[in-house]
Amino acid sequence: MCAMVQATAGSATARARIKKEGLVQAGNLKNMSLSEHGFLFDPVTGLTYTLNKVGILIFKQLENNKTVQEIVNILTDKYDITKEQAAEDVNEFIFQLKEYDLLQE
Amino acid sequence: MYNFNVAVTGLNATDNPAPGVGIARSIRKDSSWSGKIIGLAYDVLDTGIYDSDIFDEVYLVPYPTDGGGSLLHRLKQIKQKVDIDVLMPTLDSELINFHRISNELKEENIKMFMPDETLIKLRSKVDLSKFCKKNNFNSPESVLINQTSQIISAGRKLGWPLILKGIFYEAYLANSQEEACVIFEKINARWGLPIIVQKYMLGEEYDVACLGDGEGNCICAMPMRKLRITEKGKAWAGISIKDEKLLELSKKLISSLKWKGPCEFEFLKSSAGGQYCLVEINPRVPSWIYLAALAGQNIPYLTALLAYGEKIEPVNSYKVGLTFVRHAQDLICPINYIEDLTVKGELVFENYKEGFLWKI
Repeated sequence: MCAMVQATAGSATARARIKKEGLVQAGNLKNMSLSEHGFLFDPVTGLTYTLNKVGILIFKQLENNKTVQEIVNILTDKYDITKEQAAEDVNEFIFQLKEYDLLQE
Repeated sequence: MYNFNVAVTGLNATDNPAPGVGIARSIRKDSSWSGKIIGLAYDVLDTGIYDSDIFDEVYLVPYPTDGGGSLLHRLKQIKQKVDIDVLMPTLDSELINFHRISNELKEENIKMFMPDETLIKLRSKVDLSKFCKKNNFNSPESVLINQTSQIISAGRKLGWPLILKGIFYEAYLANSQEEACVIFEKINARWGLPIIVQKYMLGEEYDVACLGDGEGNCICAMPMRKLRITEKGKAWAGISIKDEKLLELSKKLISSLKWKGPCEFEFLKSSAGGQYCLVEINPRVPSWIYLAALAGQNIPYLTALLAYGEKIEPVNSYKVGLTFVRHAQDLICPINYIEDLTVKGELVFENYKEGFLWKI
């Protein structure tokens, strides 16, 4: 299991670095539209991204203002993974969102 | 329901597409209008001429270099064949000619809604930097040059690489003095002097299609992010976006210029700092205007209505995330079309409604 956000054609291509220690602060999501298939559109910049299945799940939780800890719990309930693995995945995903400037501190 | 005829120029939609085809499609799309769309073309092989789904009639007109006098003479000839109620010039190089004959056209009952000569010159590529400084808009630093020897000092002042631009069209990136000299000659041969040398800035390109009422009010403004850009810098794909900062800047520009008619603002969002820089003001409808029309801001149609004398309230909403992708398509036509244009300077599609006279 690994949450992913990828920029599509015409978007920036930077890949987020992975931060493994502790839980990060989620921050505020920009106002974006996410399709059920994980196609994410930023109406301000016109940039588009694709999220994988786990990315969609985490993104939706962030939209619902869930804390990182709550998202970790949701992931461990849904998938057969440890809390550490889930935390690492959520952290990485949040860093990717911040790298793409989709999530503000 | 409105019923009037609209004449449009700028029918050549090749690698640097003129806006005429997009304008005609936009007007035709509006269900509250009926009438003829008349194409005014400069060359028999201006590509848009042959799209009989868009144009009802097409007439050849003299090139802008022939001046306003011969243009007026030709338009009077055309007016005897078909009624032109509204005329929409679309090319930078012809706007001043059209403005200079606007009073005579009014006497012929041909109406336009366009910027005057002072406005057209104020926003020219040559004077844009001056305008931006005076009105506190960010714009890339630039200098004007008239000979290749000035490239060295321009490079020293602005740093390499440089952007070289023609007074009307075309912009190229030059990485070295040698490359800049070749580009200088290329642009000079096509568009004349001076050449605008602009500081190169890395960033993302955005355009805003606007319509001003001439009293400082912005009737329409729709920003578009370029998704695909050709080597000539033309947007080949784009998406409508809702960026409040771009809308605010565009409305401020319309207000400070008291812009009359349609226009396009070109912005560059600097990679270093994310600031918006005004790169160009084009005093006419952009070629991608059909996107704005389908998004809910039918700028060509509203311009035609303003010219027709209607009062138009600002349109603030539009669909965000609507995308255009341009592609080339072959139009097949009989030799009679080319014959009519070459021999008579006109092509009336109604004459061919029974089908091609010349069987393929």
